[in-house]
Amino acid sequence: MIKLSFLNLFRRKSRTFLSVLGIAIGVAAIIGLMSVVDGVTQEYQSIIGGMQGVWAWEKDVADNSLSRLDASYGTEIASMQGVRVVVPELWLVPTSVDGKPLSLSEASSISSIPSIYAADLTAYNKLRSNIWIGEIAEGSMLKPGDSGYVLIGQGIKENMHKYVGSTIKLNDKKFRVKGILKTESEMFSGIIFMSIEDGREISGTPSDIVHTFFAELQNPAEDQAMAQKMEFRMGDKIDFMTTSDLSSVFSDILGSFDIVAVLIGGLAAFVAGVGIINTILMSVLERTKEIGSMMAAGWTGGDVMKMVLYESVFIGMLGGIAGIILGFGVSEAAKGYGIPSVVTTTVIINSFVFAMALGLAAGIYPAWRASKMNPVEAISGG
Amino acid sequence: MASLIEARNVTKKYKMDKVVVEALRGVSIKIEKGDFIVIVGPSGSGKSTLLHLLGALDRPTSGQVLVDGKDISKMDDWSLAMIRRKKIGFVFQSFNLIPTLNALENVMIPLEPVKMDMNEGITRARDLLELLDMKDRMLHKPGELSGGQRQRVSIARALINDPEIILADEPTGNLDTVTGRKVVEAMLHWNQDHDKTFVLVTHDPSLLDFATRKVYIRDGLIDIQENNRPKKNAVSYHK
Ligand SMILES: Nc1ncnc2c1ncn2[C@@H]1O[C@H](COP(=O)(O)OP(=O)(O)O)[C@@H](O)[C@H]1O
Ligand SMILES: [Mg+2]
Repeated sequence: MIKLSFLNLFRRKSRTFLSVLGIAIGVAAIIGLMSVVDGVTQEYQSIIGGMQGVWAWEKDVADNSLSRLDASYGTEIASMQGVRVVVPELWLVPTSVDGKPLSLSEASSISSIPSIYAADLTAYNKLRSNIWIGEIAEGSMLKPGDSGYVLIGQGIKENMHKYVGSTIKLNDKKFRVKGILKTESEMFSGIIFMSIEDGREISGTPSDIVHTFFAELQNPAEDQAMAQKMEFRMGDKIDFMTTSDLSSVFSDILGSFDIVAVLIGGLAAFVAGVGIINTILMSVLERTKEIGSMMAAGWTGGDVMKMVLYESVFIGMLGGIAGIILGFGVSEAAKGYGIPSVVTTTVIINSFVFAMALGLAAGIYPAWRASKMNPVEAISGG
Repeated sequence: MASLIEARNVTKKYKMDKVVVEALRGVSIKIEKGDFIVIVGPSGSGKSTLLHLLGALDRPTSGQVLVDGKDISKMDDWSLAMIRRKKIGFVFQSFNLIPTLNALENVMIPLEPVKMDMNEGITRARDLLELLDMKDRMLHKPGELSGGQRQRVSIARALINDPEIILADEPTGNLDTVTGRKVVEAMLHWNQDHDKTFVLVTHDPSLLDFATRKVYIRDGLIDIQENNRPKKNAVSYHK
């Protein structure tokens, strides 16, 4: 019976193909969106998850590179009990690289857009972890006083063919590459790390201005309490974010992403489901006479129902497989644009089961119709 | 002993919108083991309707149909399907084969819902097709077979569950005279050498010669019912 159901699918190839395609697109859309959600989550965990402290921004700005704080706040934060190290930071975008003006439209992906992270190297070297830049793959870490040196991300290395020892001209200043970062995360692979003094020089930022501060705590578990104390003292000018604040902002964004994924997936599933119902119903009605002769040969309504359900589950399965393949394509394409994306086994299994269940559900009505055929009318009718 | 199948004063009415068609108006007939009954009558006289009732494919409007002495007129769909599966084989004028399956697979269709060893099913189907001179055509699809060959595939399909009785509705209707004659001879062979009971419906009076009993039907009533020849080895047929 399974073979029979399978063969029935190939009688009207284009119709079956369209149904399979419908499911495949739905499944691929879900996999694509979920892979980005999962990819960004992993990315987040690799970057922000390791942070153990409080991040200070100018109050109510939209982006860390727009934040401007008086440098004297650094001393004030550092003076608080429980604060281990305070790192003054700048976030810059170079106006030209190697003499060529930077044009975003030429960037082939997010990873090839260079962005500069400049930090006070003395403070940075006291941290327990390498915040923002992660581990070093080649070369070595910048030390206090390393003026004119940078560390670069994998994206810069690959897109601009820079290696340890290469020179790179950022705005009007030449730098020598001292090391290459691992930057497993695509979002950060365009990063260039330098001293805050060099950052000030190339951007013309005065010495009393800092973009953000990162404060590492003696006890990371106290981050919420510490942030509250800081808010109390400087909250009129500064927003203090903890790792968990960042993660809740983050999961809000991802949460809405999830809803979008479910909505799009649900819509695609609905359309695909209607498509399968139609395909199977047409193929059942076309085969009225055959089904009548099967009933004459002793098939019960239940047997007929089973045959039709096999057919629709097959369509679901084929659509699921095609959708998974397509979904991998979508995920790879996203990576090509520098959007973090991973297809997890859970997503694969869930979407396959989902596609099969969709096929089964869409088959119920046509299968019921077929099983209720009157054999006499079926034989003489078709 | 009860007849294999017995119809007692059955009627069948079809309602179409407001019009009621009375296809059968009180028909009684007994089918005994070994019979080769030929029912003739003009088109629209109720032959197919009667055959469907005898084969548990439908229920009468009134009257009774007894299969092995049990009244089937009040049974549910599932029970009717089981009776057809175990006791009855159908052969139709238009063959009703499945175009995507080859001859062997078509013959095995009635076995699909039955729990049975695949190999045994294949052996049975092969043997039947061989006996019906279809040895070289077993793996051909219906589209690659002639009308007579297709009808022999459908006879094999009717026989695969080893039913006691085969009901054939105009089995030669789509075949030329010579081919049709061969198909009837195949049926006669199964009637005489394998003791299968046949009921044949046709509007071709020349088939009456083969009958153990001739039945004439007109306007939903049996006109004449007469014995023609004794059962078993009473007619010669050419293989
Ligand atoms: N499903 C049906 N619905 C309505 N009328 C039918 C149906 N089947 C048969 N009839 C009518 O019943 C009568 C007998 O039909 P049928 O048994 O097919 O005759 P035969 O097989 O002798 O040609 C005809 O008038 C036919 O139109
Ligand atoms: Mg008829």
